[in-house]
Amino acid sequence: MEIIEEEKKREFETVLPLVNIVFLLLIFFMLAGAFTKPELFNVAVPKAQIDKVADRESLTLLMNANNEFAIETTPYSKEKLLAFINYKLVEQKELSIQLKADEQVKSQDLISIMEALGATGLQSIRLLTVVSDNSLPSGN
Amino acid sequence: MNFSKSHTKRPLISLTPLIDVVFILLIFFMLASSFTEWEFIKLGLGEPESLPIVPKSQSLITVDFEARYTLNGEKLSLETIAHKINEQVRLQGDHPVLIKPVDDLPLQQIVTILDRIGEMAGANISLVKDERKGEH
Repeated sequence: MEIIEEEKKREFETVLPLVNIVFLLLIFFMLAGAFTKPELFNVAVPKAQIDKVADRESLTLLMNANNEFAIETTPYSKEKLLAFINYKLVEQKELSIQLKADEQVKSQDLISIMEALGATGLQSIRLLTVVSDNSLPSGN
Repeated sequence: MNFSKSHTKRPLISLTPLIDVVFILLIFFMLASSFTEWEFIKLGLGEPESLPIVPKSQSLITVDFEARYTLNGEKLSLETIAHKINEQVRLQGDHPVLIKPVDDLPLQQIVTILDRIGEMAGANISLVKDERKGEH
């Protein structure tokens, strides 16, 4: 009986460092990582070296290379999108919009949506990019 | 006698279920969290027509598929353009910079220019359509 008790105790003590490390990792990921909102389609964002960090809470408009739009998981046609932005502008005058456009988006499509957004009364838009030296692990 | 012994020694709780749960939480947080650093370039949405059309008060950059750049009609390298715009911005804080890419140019090429020029604080950058192919 004594031997079994001793073995159990040793097993308990050897597993403690593992539990400590796992707890530390858990706390690290809980604090350092940020949850990503689900998105309708994947967007390969253009790369740049700018040090203006984007705000995760702003309204983010997704745009893919086929000139399709979405906000989070909801698809929007161009007309619906403009109506939605108009509605949002009534609620919030200083609306800040981030455009997460694919690197393959054609220039005329981008300019066309930017002109349409400008016509709603928006003064500027933030075009999202990622750091070109992609050494950081990507969450998506 | 066995009965008295259980009272004197503290019973050992098995750690296995705890470790299981912590591992599951760890895997969840590892997969759900993102470390991607998003950055942004601010672009003006004002109508290009509303800008004062006075020569030299604004800079017009054009770019084509072969990454050939012109600044106000003059063929220059991107480095030179960035340098000239930097000087202009220093003279006039809100110097408007217009970028006119050819149709079908992928966004990455536009961002490459913006990356160089957008560094200057106060640069008022807008994109304009290439009118040669007409309205879409």
